[in-house]
Amino acid sequence: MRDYLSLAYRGLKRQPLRSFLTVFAIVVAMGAIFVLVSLTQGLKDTVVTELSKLGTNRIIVVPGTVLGVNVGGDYLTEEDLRAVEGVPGVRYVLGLQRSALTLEWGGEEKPVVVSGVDPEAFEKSYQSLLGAYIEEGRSLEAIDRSRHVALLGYSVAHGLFEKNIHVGNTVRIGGVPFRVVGIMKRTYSPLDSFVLIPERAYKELVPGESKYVRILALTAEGTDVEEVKERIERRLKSLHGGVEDFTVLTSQQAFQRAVNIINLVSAFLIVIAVISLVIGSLGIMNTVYMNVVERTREIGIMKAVGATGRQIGGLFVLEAGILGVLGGVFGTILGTAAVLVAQFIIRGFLDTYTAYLSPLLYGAVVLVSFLVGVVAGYLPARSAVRLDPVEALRR
Amino acid sequence: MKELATIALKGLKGRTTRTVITVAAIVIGISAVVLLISISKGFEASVKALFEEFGSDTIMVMGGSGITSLMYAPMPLTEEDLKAVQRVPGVDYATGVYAKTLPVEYRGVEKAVVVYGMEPRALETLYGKIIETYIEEGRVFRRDGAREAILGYSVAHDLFGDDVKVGHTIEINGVKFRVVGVLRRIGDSADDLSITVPSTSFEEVAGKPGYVMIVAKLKEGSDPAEVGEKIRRELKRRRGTEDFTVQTSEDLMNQINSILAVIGAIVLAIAGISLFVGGVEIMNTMYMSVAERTREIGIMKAVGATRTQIMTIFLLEAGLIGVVGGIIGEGLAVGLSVLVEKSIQGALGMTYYHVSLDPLLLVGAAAFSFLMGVVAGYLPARRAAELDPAVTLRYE
Repeated sequence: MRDYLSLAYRGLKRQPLRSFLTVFAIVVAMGAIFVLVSLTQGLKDTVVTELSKLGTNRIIVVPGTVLGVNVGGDYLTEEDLRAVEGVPGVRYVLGLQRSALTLEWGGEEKPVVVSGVDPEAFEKSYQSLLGAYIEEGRSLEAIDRSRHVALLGYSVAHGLFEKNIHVGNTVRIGGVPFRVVGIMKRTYSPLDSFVLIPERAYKELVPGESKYVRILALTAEGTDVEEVKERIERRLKSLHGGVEDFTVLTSQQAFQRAVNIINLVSAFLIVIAVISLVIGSLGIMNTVYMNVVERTREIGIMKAVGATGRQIGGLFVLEAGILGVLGGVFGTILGTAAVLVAQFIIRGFLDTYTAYLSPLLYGAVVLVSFLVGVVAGYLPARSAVRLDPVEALRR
Repeated sequence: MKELATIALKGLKGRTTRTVITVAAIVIGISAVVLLISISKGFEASVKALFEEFGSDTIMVMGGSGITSLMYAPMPLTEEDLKAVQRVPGVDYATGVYAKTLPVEYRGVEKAVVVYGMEPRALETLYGKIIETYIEEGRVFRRDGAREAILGYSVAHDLFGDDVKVGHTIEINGVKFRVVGVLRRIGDSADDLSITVPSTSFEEVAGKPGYVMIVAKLKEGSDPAEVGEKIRRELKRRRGTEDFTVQTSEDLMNQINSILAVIGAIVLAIAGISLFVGGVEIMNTMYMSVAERTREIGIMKAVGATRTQIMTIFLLEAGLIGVVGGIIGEGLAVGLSVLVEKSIQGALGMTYYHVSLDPLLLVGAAAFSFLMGVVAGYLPARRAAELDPAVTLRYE
């Protein structure tokens, strides 16, 4: 085996420029593939990490059948909320009802979205369910059940009114005074312009039955979210007389959707990059053909002294494989440099971004480039095997 | 010159296998690039055509902003919002679109379906002249208040065991509606699974749940961007927060086009790598060619060929590899484009999509492939030109 390697190596060294250019082509092609895989896989990992920080055990029940359309007229009832609460595996449930009401502060009147929540359920679940955190003051708590207190979204407190609102201030919502007990951190979501008040006070402002526009649920640890989701679906469907006029989503689904899109884009780009690998492999084929032609005489001698077809074929296939591997190795080295530069740039927009640079990727790229070389070398090697020694020696 | 070309051609003929492989490399590279450019140009053209049909004088206001709406359920647009939009200068008329999930019954099977309620003119404003191309069977409703329904493709064909046909009767929330039209598959499951009825009939069966969308038609000569901005400011002031999205058709077209341009550029850059790799291969082939003909070059020089003549021979040879590969590659691209067109039309439901094979692109790509060959052949050709005749003749 070692003899083979040194023979193949010497064969390649005889035409250094030719070998260099062939390897260079593979370096560029393999490098591009390496960079694409590393960057897109990195993006996928980053998105997955970011999303799982929000928790994968959330379930959202949306009234209406169709996703993506904000069907304004649909809502879920108190009965629905209780039903979801009773499903085994559900830990917390938060019903979201809301109305546009006016908020008075510092002599100004502005419309805001007011949402009534069960303060006890809210306190337990707002971080994990809504991804919300308190900036100032405190959350709504169980003791607020029958109080007139409010928790403000970031933009309601900062910038909506000329005078910013602080904890301890009293504002009027729909004409009724409420004491501000807390202000939430900025979430860059519609939550920033919400005003949250206890359910009971909300009922006074918006009389009538509860109309939930969303029911959010958190599953207990160790339960299968998909299973809980199905249970909720069955329970609500039977409650609604067999009609599925609601949609149950899990955070895992949102997740899966993001991952699928990245996979699709990455696969598409890699397919295009593979075109250059195909072209590079044609270069290997060309080079090995040339080597066979140039060494016809030598092959004849080898055959004459008893080398088998297998040995000769193996030699040229090995040459091709070495060209491929060299291309792969240097492709990953240059690719790594390019990936590190790209990572630095991407971190300017997405600070947790980490490109995917695992030993597995390096191994796979080098292995693939070896295989590409071997495949490309097959035809030229066969022509070497088929050389008639008598003919070959005559040249 | 003609003679030099003949020599270049002979040089290629002598090494058929090598030349074929190198040309094949260029064929693959050029066909990929030409095909990808034509595909993305085709997308741009069909987006433009689509928006020209729509007319650029439409503004849509939608409840919600971005994907967080899924979690926080934006407030629907109200009748007061609609009135405010109607008052904005430059707006000719504005109309609201209702939506609600309602029980729909057909031959004893009950399903929950999203029902849209809109005035006939909203239908006209939204779809414009192309509404006909969306109708699979039947017609649209023309009179507000009629108990007539247009079904999305999946509602008619998949939802209720039996196909619902034009002329059949369905019950929406207990009220009978006659099916007057069935839409083609739009590809968006939300729209395919919906029913559209006239706005007044909607109010009769479902009340006034607020609008999911307000559609505004602009007065002639008014600037959509300017009116759109006015609407945005007015609604934000009224609602206290920007929990809605104002979209002019121009905005939408620009958004789609800029996304397409970015995708096109990335794809082209990656495909461009394959041309670079192909160029390296031409260079390699040319070096081999020069090495093999060292003796020949020496003889040519000895009988008085100039540096320029030798260089020209090899540059032509390289250029020839490039341009032959390029032209065959274009042929391949043209052939494949038919397949691609069919599959895009099928898979995305874009029956109006056509691959844009610009003759200028074909000429340009052919010229480019020749140039690429020449550039790749430059170094090898220079080596040939600089060979010392005395040394070369000694070479075997």
